[in-house]
Amino acid sequence: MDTQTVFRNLQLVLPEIVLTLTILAIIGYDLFLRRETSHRTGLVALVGLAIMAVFLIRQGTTPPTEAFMQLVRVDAFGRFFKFLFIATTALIVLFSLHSREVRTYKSGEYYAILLTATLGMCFLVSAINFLMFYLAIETVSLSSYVLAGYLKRDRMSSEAALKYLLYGAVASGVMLFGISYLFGITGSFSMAAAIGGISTQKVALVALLFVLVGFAFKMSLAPFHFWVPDVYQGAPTPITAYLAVASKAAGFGALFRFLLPLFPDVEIGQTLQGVIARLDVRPLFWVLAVVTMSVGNLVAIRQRDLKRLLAYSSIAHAGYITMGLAVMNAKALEAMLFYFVAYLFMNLGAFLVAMILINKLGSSLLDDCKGLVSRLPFLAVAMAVFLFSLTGMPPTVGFIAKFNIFYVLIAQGTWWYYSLALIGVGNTVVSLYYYMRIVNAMVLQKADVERPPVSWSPADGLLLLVLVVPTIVLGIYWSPLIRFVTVALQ
Amino acid sequence: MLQAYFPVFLLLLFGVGFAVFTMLLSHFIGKKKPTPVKLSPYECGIKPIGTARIQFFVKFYLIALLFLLFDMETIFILIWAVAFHDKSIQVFALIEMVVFITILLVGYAYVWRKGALKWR
Amino acid sequence: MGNVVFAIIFYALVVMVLVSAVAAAFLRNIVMAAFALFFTLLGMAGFYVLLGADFLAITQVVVYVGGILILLLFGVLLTHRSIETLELETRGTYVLGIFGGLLVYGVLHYFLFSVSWPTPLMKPLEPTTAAIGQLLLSKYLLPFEVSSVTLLIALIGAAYLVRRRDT
Repeated sequence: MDTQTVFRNLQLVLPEIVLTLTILAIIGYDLFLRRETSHRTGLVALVGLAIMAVFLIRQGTTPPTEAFMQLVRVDAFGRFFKFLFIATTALIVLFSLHSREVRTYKSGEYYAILLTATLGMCFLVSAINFLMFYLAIETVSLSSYVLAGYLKRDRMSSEAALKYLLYGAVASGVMLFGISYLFGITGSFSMAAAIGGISTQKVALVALLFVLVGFAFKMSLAPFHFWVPDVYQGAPTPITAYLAVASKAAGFGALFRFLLPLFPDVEIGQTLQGVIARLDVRPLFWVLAVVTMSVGNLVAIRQRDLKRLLAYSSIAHAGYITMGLAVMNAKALEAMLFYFVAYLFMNLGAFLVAMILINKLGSSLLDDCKGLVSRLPFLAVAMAVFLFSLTGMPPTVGFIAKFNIFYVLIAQGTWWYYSLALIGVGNTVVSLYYYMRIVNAMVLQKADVERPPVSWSPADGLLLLVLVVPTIVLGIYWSPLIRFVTVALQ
Repeated sequence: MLQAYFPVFLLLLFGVGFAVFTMLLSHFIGKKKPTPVKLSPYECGIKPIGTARIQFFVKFYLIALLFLLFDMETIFILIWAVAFHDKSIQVFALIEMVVFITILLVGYAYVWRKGALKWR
Repeated sequence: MGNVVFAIIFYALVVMVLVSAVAAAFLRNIVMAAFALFFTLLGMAGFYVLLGADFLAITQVVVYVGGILILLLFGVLLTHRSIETLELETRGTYVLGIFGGLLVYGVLHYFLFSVSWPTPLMKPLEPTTAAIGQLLLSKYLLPFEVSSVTLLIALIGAAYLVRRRDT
């Protein structure tokens, strides 16, 4: 590569470079801070993310390019996910600045590691080469393990980190093994070549299955979801929200990138003519979707802890999104991307409520939520909105998102997809039960014992508003969101 | 190609052979008159208490971990140094390594400043 | 002649790796098991040398034998003594282990012999380190720099989690 090529390529990853510089700045700044002032690094993180967003927007005019000798592809599809990550990370930084759990520890490292996870995700969704992909996924994983165990004096948090690490290492090992087979078969690390290789040699499906284990772990699809409840419960609540939204979206984004050649009417990156006829993985995702949402919803019913319940609910939502992969066309991809944006607002919102509860009451048990409406009325109402949206009831953005997915299924017009839609509706009914149990506890039930009144700060309300407003407004006026999603598919 | 490893093989053979040879030698020509004092781990020292298998201080682990990470960097620097002969990429190689090392120096400054290298 | 030497070294390595791997899996003393693993890892480095992957062999020795094994030993020494005397294996875990091992072997066997592997042109084996270095500095520039960030965060995460005081 000559100097010019290198500079042109570096320009394409300018947003990521900004993020890296921010990480270094945070670590450097943190060296001069004491524990009480270390949360100031969070503000540096916010500034860095804002600058990154500006560079990302400016990049919008460049045509799709494969940079660094076909290692990464810089295009609108990747930018969609990068915007999603920036928004999520910025919100998580705000949550963390406001979280009592996080504030009791020194938080310089926290923000540096958080941004590194985001950096890994940005490379994850733009990687079109397994070498880059694996490096990115390890960057995300390593950072997530530390973040999950960040409350190091808390046993639950350390347990979460250890469990996450053990499951993650196994999943990543299996995936790496699969990648090594794909490399052996095709002689290249290119993802498109791997799909081509699999479609010509049926045996290579075993390798594909191995690789999918790694994806399924990140996306928390059953039966690779066993880490989710314990990790989500033990990790600091902002990190739980981060794992549930950003980490999951990154897993899905990378899987989409890998499987894009199999989408017959999507032309992003390399298209392989007629591959889907030879390599049909849709039945696999049909099964994964059914198992994942059923497991998530059925186990969620019995949960008594809000964080744990939301963990199972997030598994169920991964299942709903996977229904789109069972269809595998442009409309389905659009519906899935739409779902991610909706999921961002409503799920972050629900976890924000859990975090505020832990801040104020020190626990997230459902029993402690009883009679919340009389003590913290706005919190209870906001939670109700998020839960309605998670169930998929109008007029919230969750309804539109779910409707889109079901519409795509019905449009396929075969009993195979009708039955999938039917199972999805059945699951929604089950989820209605346990979501409404929370609302019931908050609004209709009386607290068992008299509890002292709790103070309410403007910051709580402001953060909640930032998430409540889009959840409702986008449920009524969703065409801007549709436009945002369709841009990603160009 | 394999011939190139012959010196390595010789070194390995010599190292293992030397250790085995001296141990065997002392085993065969040494006199053995065991007494309880002679059989204790330290013949002229404090009497051992408990077993040698105690729980280690966690600090050792941190040092080993830091060692491993800087060990990884050595690998990167090794291949960089070997490839550096190529005139066409020398300038690039230098810049890339400077960036690489700078990023890791931040980590070094961190562990130093946070006292991870101090023994306390 | 060359082939005979190659075969002798190969089978010597096979015996070393297999015996030490079995020992690592079945030895009751966990410290002894870790030492057995030393020979397994060293034997693997030998295989890499035989295959002409000199860089991989160096990495195996420097990182695995020299680094990870030490870490493993420290990890063992950090644990309470009681873990050694614990009766970890029952008949159930043995059966499960053997069954799982056979399953993995079956998949590998089937895979190895049913895929038509593309065979590269048989070239005389050459040193690979310089070539890998050149690739890393030109084509794989991006992963090279990203890996430094990954290492940095691993360093910071490890130092943070192990540190007791919060300064």
